[in-house]
Amino acid sequence: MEIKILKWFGLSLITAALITACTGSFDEINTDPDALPTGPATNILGNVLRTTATQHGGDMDGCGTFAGYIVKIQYMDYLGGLIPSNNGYGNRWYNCYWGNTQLNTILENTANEADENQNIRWAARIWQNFLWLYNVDSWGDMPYTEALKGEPDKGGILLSKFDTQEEIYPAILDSLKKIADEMASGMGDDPIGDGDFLFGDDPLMWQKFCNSMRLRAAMRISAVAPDLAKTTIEEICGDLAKYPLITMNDENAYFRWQDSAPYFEPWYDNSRTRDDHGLFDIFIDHLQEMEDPRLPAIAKPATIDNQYHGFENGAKSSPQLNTVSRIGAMYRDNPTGFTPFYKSCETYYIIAEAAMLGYEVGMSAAEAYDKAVRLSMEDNGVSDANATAYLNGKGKWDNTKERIWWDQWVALFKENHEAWCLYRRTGVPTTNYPSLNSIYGSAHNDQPFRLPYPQNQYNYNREQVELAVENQGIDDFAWGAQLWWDTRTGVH
Amino acid sequence: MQIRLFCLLVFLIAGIGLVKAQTTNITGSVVSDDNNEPVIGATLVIKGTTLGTVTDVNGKFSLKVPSGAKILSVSFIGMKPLELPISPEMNIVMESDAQALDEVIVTGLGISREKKSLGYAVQEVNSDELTKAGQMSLTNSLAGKVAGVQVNRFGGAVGASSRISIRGNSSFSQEQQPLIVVDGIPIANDTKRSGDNTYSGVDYGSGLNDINPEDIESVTVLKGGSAAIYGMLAGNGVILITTKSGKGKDGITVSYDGNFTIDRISALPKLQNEYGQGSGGDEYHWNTMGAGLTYQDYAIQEVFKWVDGFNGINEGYDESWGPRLDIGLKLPQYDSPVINGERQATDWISHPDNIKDFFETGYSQNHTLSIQSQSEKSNTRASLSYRDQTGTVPNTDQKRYSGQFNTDIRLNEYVSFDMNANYTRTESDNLLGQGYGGNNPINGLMIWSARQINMATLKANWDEKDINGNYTYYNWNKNYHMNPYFTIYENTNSLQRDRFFAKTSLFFQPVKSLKFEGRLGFDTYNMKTLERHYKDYGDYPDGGFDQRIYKNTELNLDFIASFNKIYGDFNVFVLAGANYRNVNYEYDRMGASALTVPGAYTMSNKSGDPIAEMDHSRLRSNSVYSTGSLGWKNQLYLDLSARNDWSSTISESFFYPSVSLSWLPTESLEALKGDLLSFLKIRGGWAEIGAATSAYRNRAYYYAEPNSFKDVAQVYKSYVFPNAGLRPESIRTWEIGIETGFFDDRLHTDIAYYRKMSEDQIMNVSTSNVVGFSAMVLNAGKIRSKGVEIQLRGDILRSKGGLNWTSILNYSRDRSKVLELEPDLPSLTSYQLGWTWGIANQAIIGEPWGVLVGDGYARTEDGAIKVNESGLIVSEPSKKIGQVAPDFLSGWRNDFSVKNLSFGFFLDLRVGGDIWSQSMSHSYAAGTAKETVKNTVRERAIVAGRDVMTDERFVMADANGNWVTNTIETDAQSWFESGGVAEMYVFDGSFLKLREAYISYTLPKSVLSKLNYINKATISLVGSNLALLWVHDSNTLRLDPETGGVSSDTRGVGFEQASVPSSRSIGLKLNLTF
Repeated sequence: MEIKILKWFGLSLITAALITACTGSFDEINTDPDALPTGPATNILGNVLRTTATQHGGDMDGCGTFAGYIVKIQYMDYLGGLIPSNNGYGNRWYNCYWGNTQLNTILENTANEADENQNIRWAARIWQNFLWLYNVDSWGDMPYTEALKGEPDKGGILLSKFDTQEEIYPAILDSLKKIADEMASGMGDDPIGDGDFLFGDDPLMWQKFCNSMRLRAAMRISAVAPDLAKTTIEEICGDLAKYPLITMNDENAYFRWQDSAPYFEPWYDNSRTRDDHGLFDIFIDHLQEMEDPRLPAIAKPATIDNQYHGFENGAKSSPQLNTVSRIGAMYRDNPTGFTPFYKSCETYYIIAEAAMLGYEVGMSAAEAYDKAVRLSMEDNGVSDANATAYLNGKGKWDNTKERIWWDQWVALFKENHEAWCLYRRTGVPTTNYPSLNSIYGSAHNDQPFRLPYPQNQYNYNREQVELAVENQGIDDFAWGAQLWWDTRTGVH
Repeated sequence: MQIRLFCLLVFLIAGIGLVKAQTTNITGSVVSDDNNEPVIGATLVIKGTTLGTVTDVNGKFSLKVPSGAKILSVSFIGMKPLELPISPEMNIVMESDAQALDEVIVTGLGISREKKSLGYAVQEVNSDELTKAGQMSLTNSLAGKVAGVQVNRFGGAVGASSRISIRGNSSFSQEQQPLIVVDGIPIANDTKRSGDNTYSGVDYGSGLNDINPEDIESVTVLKGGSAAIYGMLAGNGVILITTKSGKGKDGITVSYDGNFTIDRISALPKLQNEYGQGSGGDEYHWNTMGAGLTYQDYAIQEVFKWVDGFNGINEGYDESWGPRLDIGLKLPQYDSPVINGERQATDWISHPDNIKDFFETGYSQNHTLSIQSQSEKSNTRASLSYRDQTGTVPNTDQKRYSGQFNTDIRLNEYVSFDMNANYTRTESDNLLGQGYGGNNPINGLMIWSARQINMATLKANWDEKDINGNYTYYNWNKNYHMNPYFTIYENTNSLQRDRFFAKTSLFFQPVKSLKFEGRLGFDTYNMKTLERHYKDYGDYPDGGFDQRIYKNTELNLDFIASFNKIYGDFNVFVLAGANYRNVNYEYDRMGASALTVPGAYTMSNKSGDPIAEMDHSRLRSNSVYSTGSLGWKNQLYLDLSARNDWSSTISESFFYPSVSLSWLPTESLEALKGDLLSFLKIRGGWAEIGAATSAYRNRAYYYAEPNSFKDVAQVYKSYVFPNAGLRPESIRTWEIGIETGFFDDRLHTDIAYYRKMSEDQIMNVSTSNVVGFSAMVLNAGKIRSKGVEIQLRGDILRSKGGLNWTSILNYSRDRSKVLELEPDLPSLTSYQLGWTWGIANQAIIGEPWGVLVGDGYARTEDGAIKVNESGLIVSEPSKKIGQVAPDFLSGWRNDFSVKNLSFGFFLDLRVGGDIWSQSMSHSYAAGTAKETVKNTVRERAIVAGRDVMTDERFVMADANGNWVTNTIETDAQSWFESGGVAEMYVFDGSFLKLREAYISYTLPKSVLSKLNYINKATISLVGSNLALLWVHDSNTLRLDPETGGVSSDTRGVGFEQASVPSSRSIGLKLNLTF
């Protein structure tokens, strides 16, 4: 019997030895077969571009309401949603940091062959700056210098401090200038590839987009950092061959969607299941009063009388639905429609305003205004004749910045975030008003100044976000303090 | 490593002894007094020596005894031990021992042990207790029956899954359900769900319910350290299921067990019946905004008018803030007639039973036919069963067909084998969607709804078609909701699951004391779900479908050697083994998010890009383990176990030891034992166990989005920072217990106290997103739990021929505390366990497991709630608004019998455990909840604190910014519709339920003897989930608190989301033995 037992021990030992031996394949077993071995740069860029368009392109109320374009007509908007959330606004905040990280992955993966990947590296960096700019204009102070440094070998910073807008803006402009100068010294040979959903693998378009972003950012801070604004705009306009801009409608930074789910144009996609949005009364009123020929492109007449009617923002109750104008077909009813990031007309509205500010831009304000309006008309399918009639009629140049801004406001339709920035910077449209039955009562007489910081900041970076809120004097998550470049008075 | 192996060997060597020489011979047999059957395997030991033997299959024995030996001790599990004077020829009769003390219980690895020898708490539920009340699924029938085990059911829908937690929650993992072991083989109990696990999805049921309760002999729950032999799999406890075998009576027995129940909705939410659809339609609004109009004119001009679903007034509005019902108003409604193109105004009246009318009577039946055969060399049981359920929601169902087979064959005295196999097919034509999805009709019926709707017209016309044969989508709302009947008949979710699990073992027993076992266990399921969307305004305006196929196989190979021998006063048992485990999982999905032709669910009918997805996962582990028990004089037992695990998901190997001790003072100290105290046992144990992780968490990967864009793959790098040195969760636990029997054990108590320290939690720690990853995988965190479990069993009345009453009370409480998260990350003070609708369930340092965090009331320092200028509550983000863990759980079972009649009932009590309710939140906002009309709030201006929430003090800011008593007027619609705060919708989930009751009659032998072939017949009236007797006042909708969010894992705990009301089952049960 003892012998048997001994045999059995031998067997146990062998079993144990076998077990340890066959753990050798464990690493292979624990490798995800559904993952990709590498991440091609163009596919990562494409994903970031598309995701950004999904996040920003879906915005109808929110920025669309703040900008004075769109109101909710079924569920009234009382601003109850303007609280820290990871959804909605929070997703856009997330997209900035997620997108920057993905684009950093491109830069890290190509770091050793940077010279062979110049174009895609530029595209990645330009889009990073676009994302930063979008975020700083929505939220104000935000983590920037201490952002994206969570990995131990990047500093292990898990509680990123919030930088001020005064610090962030020049840093973005500086980064964009560096890229612009690098590109000006000669483009790369590498294709950006299939993933360039924005400009169809055209590095020169990225160069134009880069300089156009500089123009936009510089004008934004023209009242609070006039020197930086002036030098930036004059540098670009002084050498358009070196710093080319987006100047034609077929160069517009329009993200164009595909004709199938899940990537229908987001406003169209929404229209498949929802009919929540009508046009803001101030918008329709303005377009009608100005006899603006863009009206039929922007809006549909109400079905009850075939007339254009806007609706109040935050009315006590919902209107009879057939009495309100909806968004025009070109903007809402096309599955392969576009999400705009930059329109060529913006270039000329900005140049016109710069000229009014006395900057050297090589063009008069009147010329630039004329060009801007004609580009916007063309983009909305308005005939030359009708555009001319408008420019000779109600849209006639009157040598005021207000004329530029009012027209720019109309032109920016669907680029809602940019239009909200315009409103906060210039106060145009002056007719804009916040939800009539806002849950904040009369505490605020203006549209929100910013978006609430997302819930995850309160959950996981509370000290820093609360410091940022305190430093900026934010009340009610969104009001209390205007952004750095928002110099309007009398608003609260 | 070497040290650990050495430890294992030491355990084995401890079992080796020497065999001494013997002299004269005695022979004899052992039979049972019950039926005169031979007792197989009874132990015979010559008192004062180590000499002994066991009886053979005929109950016979022969034994050489030394001269001078006087007394023979005879023992057998379940029988009263005997001490008899030795004679050459001995015919021994053993009496069965009804006392629970000598109960045999199945423990880890399928080892049968005497309960009294165990140094830890285990609780067994036998087949009778499981099936007595005719419950259709194992999870339902376990609920409340084991101290320390909480079964959370997910609503009243057919086929929904359950979550089982043992000794509270002490892990941060999503999946922390116990390991399920059937006849020694682990089987998968994962729940498959579609959807996002946050807002909506379809729940396809618990794998555990693939076992027919009628095939189960017993269920043993290993709660703490007793599971240590399962090492890395033991962390959440183990449920051991033993299926019925052929053991029993010689010959062939045929049995039939059947039950048939009818199921009716038992807990409808409390909704209002005073106001119908619309906005601003109550008396308050009429008086303030009606501009002199009559109520009728105001209502039709401003509040509600149905034209075609789109062009009227507020007809697309799915809320009930409209005009008062039942006061003679007439308004055009969806079911009003259209005359000359004009929809007529018809009576604006309430339909208080509209929700009730929607639900039907469900029918459930379960039939099991089994044969059992026992002969000298083998025993076999085979069963076939069929279960059919139709839900209380129309057109929901589930069918289950299963076959089970167990056999045990002894080829000779050395070699035997057994085999268990189980096949189950589960089918549903339609299972309901959960949560906020368009395929959950509860949303449009009860929550976002119009209270005046007439269910009869919706039912009669849901399939109305136009002249071209297209559906008109007849409904009260054409904006958000499909007709509920359309949803349940056309937007269906079907299931087919084939499940097969089997175990076979070969045993080789070279000598009586030594046994080798080679064991193979196999579990596989192949499951297909198909979600059809004919049309759904919200999610599938152009139809669509989604087909998912899951395959999972788990293979376990074990080699086990065990040694069992008596040395004098010592009883030695040693077991050692090795395990190889391999789990393969595969998932394929295809579908379309739009269709070309409505109602054809095939890829060729897709419009646009297909939905296509695939996923694989592979796990392997190798383990060696050993366990040993040393018993002394039937009164002192020491158990040791050790296991070492190597897993593909973890780079290191891990060692799990345990030790326990059990002492029976009433055996050791004769003086203790008396009329009062008949039994006393003191026990204690310590163990370290683990909980492993899923695959692929130790590095970052690149993945492509499920869909390409313009035919270009969209690639991203995982936004989770991985952990290369991941360790399994570690749990150190100890427990002590005392068992006492009084009055000849008529009153039996079992009290356990335990402590647990769970460390190295595998956490997916969220960051603020700005750091370059949204989460990181960490091994950190400490949760301490302590708890008490009490079982009281009283044979209160015991009389042969008279009334017998047995009462069993279970009580358990578990207190957990999160001690730390990650000390290196001082900022990390909370960890998210679950989340929905802006409310998180978090682990917070210093708090118990599971704190609900969301928008709460902003209060002044002295506790008053602040209101804003509009008189609405000011909210404050990220406040602690609830605790999900119950204070205690208790179950009280009472069984009575008089002669052939028995009856009983089972009450289940839970106290505490907060729930955030979507039904409450949304039905308040939509004005459908009864609470929104309480105290005539819609008839006048209201002031917070005076008219609503009168038990709270409200303050407003005065001109100087001071907080003074609130006098700001608002109205009910503003208050409920836009003034809500998450804290309002948290209710205390306490309940008292009449969980089960039965009356059962066994036909007397005198009657049966006239009925040839029938040996036993029992007929019962059964009922389960009979009544929700009590809920907490804060549960204003009177929802069944035994529910969860859309995810039946940890992510659903502490939430309620548009759940189907639970139902009450009453029916008949019949058991026949031929």
